[in-house]
Amino acid sequence: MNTRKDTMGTALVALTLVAMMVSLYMVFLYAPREATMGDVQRIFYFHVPSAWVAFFAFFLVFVFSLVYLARSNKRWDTLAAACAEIGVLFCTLVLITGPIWAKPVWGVWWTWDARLTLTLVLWLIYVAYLMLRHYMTDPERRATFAAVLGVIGFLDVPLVYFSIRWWRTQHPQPVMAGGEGSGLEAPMLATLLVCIATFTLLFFTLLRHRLRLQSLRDEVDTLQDRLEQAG
Amino acid sequence: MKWLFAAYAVIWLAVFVYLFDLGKKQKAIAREVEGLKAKLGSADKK
Repeated sequence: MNTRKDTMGTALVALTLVAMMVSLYMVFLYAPREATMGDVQRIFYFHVPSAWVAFFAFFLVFVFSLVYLARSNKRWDTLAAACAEIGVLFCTLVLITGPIWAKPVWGVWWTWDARLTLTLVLWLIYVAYLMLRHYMTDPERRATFAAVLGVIGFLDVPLVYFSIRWWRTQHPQPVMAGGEGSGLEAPMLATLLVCIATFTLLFFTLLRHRLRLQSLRDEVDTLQDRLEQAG
Repeated sequence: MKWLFAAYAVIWLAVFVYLFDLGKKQKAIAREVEGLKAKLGSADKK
């Protein structure tokens, strides 16, 4: 069983690396240069997938938190925590790459428009989730409180997603399913979709490693309990 | 181009730092597991 798991893990890492190389080729050599923004627009191909992964990770936190609240099984709490950590990582990347792109295009690093502000709020919610887990020592209370925050916090994700449709914002309008006038040229869309797939693979690779760490921590707790009983 | 380079550098750095940190923690905990197993082995023999 362990050998099969190791093989799957190695295959996942290899697939992610190959996908990343394909993505880099498509981003820098295949996708055309954007007419208005020039080469700086290529940040888009990692900025948007980072946002997708963050939303996906927080969605999984939402689902695993609900299941934990229904079943009180530690496994779901562990999954939620791991997804939250990776979600915060990618949300941080969104909040860093966005301003790096904004500075040459808008002339400012940041503006308090709906999309940017709600994304920052999203980041703060899940940083608070991680801090709550870090500082709460009772395992059951920690899991319950974190699960409640994991469910409520997810409400911000649709707000972030729809903000550019509901309100006037500095942030660009949607490039997919954005109505009349929206859309990407085929090579750009293909590049974006490949990058989204690559980042999703990266998410699962990181998740696997993070869960491995947690399983080792659980083994430490079990061994310490056995040592106390033997002692 | 410097902005493009900066954005990609941040992404790669963040992912590798996170992976490196996970790897370091895994090694430390794996050592702790081995140590505890050894202690448990000694305790069982007594």
